[in-house]
Amino acid sequence: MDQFLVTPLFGDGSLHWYSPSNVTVWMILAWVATVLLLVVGTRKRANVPGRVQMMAELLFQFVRNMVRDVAGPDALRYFPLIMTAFMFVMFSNLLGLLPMSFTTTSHIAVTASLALTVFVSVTVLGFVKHGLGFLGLFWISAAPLPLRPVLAVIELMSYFVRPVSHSIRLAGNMMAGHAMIKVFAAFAGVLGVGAVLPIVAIAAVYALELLVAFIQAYVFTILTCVYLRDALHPQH
Amino acid sequence: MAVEDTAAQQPGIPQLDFSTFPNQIFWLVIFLVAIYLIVGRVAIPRIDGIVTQRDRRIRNDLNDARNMNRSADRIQSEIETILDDARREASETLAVARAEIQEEQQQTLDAVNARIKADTAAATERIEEYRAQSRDVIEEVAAGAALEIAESFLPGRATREMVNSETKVRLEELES
Repeated sequence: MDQFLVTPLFGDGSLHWYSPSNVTVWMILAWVATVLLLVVGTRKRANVPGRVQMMAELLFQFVRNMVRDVAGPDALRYFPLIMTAFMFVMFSNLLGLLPMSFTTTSHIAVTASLALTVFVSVTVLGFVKHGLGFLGLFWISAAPLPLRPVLAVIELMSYFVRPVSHSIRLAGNMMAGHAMIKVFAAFAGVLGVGAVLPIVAIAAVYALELLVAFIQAYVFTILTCVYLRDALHPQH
Repeated sequence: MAVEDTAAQQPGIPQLDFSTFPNQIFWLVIFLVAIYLIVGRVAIPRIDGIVTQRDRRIRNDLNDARNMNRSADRIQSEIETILDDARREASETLAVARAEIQEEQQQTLDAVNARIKADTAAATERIEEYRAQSRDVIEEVAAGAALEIAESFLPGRATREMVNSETKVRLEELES
């Protein structure tokens, strides 16, 4: 499990809140990757895009369409924020697949911070936009009247569970994939010639993890859009 | 505190080592802001510009193509109209020319026919004239011959008048 350890880069090994650590390194790399893809890749502003610009444009339109289709056209105001979250999660996930790397999004501290930020912002936005009308989200007017209080309790509970599932899903996926690769790697170490099997398995899991890295970034983003829609349009 | 030591001592996973949380959250906030500045201030306006401009250009090109297509169609129909007109005009001209030629031919033919008729009439007249002249000559010669013959057989009995009238009667009998 030492692949998940947070270690300071300098000093006597003590970790203060401001100490540069491996978290810092891999977040810098995620930032650099974002700059390379979205800024350096589009510097030519070509009408017929090259490979990198095409990828940047695809991600841009992918997330923008997601925001518009899931949360509605009025949610496009928040598209830059959602794009930021998507780029951070996607590159953290992908960079975490490099050998010897550190996966910032495998830590509940990071994903819970992200999820809580989304949760609090969306809740505040809901109350700012609709006042107490935002509570209509929990009062299902389509249901028969006697059922509504019961449903309200359930809806309220599920609402507060959102940040938990939102963050644990991402961290859990990232951690499980890495732990699995580590376990197979340990098998390879003790099997001698038979190590071929775990190595093949690692290759397969690695391919799967590449997919999971992208899909989890997508899932995190689309859930953010769903929560945003609830805040903007609480009347279902 | 020493992370290595706590990790070594703690049996739990590093994700639940709460002593690292402030550090992670601090750097997360810093880099989320950094990524937001890049994404929100630079990347999104730029890519939005690129995509919008491309869409506009494609739309303009499509519009141009549609307009050109329309004007090509118009020119095509104009060409067809002109061609139809030309064809109609040509056939009219042809018909007029044909009629003129026919009339001219008819006139020439009539003129030739008329001349043939006139020539024929003149020739016939001349033939009649010659025939009349030759009859007179034949009458005279025949009467002269008859008178001489009658003189040699019956001298003094035949007169010129007698011979003349008799010759005329006989010649007319021969002719008919």
